[in-house]
Amino acid sequence: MPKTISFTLNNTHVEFTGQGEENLLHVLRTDFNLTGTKFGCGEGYCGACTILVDNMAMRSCQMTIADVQGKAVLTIEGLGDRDNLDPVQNAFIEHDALQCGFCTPGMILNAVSLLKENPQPSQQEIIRAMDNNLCRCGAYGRIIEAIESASRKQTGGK
Amino acid sequence: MENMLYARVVRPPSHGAKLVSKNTEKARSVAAVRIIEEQDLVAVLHEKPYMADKAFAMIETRFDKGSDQPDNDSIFDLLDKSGTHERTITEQGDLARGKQISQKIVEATYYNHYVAHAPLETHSITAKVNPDSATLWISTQTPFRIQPAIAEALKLPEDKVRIITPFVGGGFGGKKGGEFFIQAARLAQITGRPVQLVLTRADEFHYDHFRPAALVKARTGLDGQGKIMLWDFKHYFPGSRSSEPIYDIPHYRVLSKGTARGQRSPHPFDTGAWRGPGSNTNVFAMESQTDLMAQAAGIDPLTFRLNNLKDPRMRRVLQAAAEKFDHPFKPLPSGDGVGIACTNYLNTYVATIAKVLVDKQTGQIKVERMVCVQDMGEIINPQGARLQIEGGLIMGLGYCLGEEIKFRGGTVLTQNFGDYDITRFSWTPHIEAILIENPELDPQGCGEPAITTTGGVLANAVADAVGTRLYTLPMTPERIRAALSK
Repeated sequence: MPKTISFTLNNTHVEFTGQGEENLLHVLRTDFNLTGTKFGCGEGYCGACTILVDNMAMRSCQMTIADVQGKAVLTIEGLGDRDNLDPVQNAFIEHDALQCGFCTPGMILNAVSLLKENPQPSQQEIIRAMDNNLCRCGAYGRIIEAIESASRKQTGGK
Repeated sequence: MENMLYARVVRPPSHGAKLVSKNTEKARSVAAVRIIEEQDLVAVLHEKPYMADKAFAMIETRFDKGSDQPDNDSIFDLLDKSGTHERTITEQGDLARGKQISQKIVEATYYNHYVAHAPLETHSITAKVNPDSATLWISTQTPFRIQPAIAEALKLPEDKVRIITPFVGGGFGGKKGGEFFIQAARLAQITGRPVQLVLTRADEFHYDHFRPAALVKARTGLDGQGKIMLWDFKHYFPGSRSSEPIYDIPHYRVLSKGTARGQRSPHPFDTGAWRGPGSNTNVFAMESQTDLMAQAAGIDPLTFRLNNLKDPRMRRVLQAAAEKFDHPFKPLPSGDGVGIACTNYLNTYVATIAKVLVDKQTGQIKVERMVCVQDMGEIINPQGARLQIEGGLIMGLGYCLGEEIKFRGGTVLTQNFGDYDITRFSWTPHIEAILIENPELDPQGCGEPAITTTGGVLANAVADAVGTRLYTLPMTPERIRAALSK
């Protein structure tokens, strides 16, 4: 029997009707046309599919649509907008923390989630929190710098 | 795209395996699914990708079983005995004479396993085929090269086939053509609707044209003053790029052995260009061998290199790297864990110095710091160049420390990142990329040179750290522990 899943998506109340078992990553990309969240491995290893669910970084390729019933989902499209980017997004740009950009939405959302939980992480804490997000182009060094910079800006530093 | 279908296509579990039987009955029970069975093309299509996946999982297929050989343990022996196409890349003087005047002869063989491109974005295509034209959005580095094959498959004139390349999520030499692009185009033509095909990660590993497994046999000689007199190298299957010796040597010969066109390759699957093709393997062997000679001579690796180099561009990058690294080089093995590697990659000169820590209990290697100096002639985009150097070194750590495709005959056993260790945040050293100002020289290449030094620099650093050298990449903790226990 078809179910209706209600949830908040990028600060808007939405509904999805289906079996409930549909893969969340593909529902976001196809049914909601939000293609910023990426398919990298389909098995939760790479983090390219990272979204926020109730402010926590989750791997959407490992979830079903039923998993977000009643929850607040944030994709990269919901984070800031062109005129008012999130500090983490600005930091990624300032520090050249991307090359091909495919891992980037997942990296940014994972970093946002980290900074919500730990506003002033040490470099080791950043590395530990980010270590399961993969980047093939080798932007890791600059991603760490970007997160450190965003953390400083957000906590009133420079 | 409006009216689009998502496709999943049946492919063999093993290269060369033939389809013996198939049953699409169960798959057809999925509402609104389309199944295409046209000769060798068996595909499932649906407006929703999760429904296409669901139906695809219901298809039953049987393929014939191919050979279990070669595998990771037997491949090098096979490559050693294979190939008939041997050519001389460069030579000078006389090898017998070189041996005669050498006081010490150093011999070693170096091994590289198969390595995948593993871009984070898998190959993907969206195809829209009209009666007399087609537009395809393809994740490829070579749209012009694949256009003829697609045009032929669709029976359309080439000038009616338009290929658009969106931003590619990584290629590294691995995103060119592929039968899956042809399949998607055909499916769009057959169904009359736009079709999107995205490879799964397991498909991506299966279809990849790997950097070839290869071995390099080295026999070199030096005189009593630490000058290289003899350089006799045989490069089996990596390719010949960067194999010309960079040092001043009176007697040398470089041979490259592979498979001639039209001959059967010993590789159980296709191999191809991987960021710095040939050079990663060759420079690993050449610079490791150089350190072996320095060690035999009791001379530190920087002085040994400079003593054998007149080339001003090579001396310049080496000295600039040494100055920045600011470390007193000592003869190997010093326990400091510092290594050097340098190369001339298609007229871009690179020198890299690295410091590693090796945990002798676990065999874990931690790369602490890298300095890389690159002379690429006139620099158009300095920040872009720095990013490419950093990116190349970081990517290179993967094939040095963890990446190895596991296989059994034509079956690629590696299926996802859980079985394939690419570089992570926690592996990443502090990197300083330094660009040499050389504006008199036209702009040279920039994206590939740095990565080709990673094998040599890390092998040398590890040997300096623990007093034992590894001759095989990747240098996994297992291999380190095994080497240390000997």
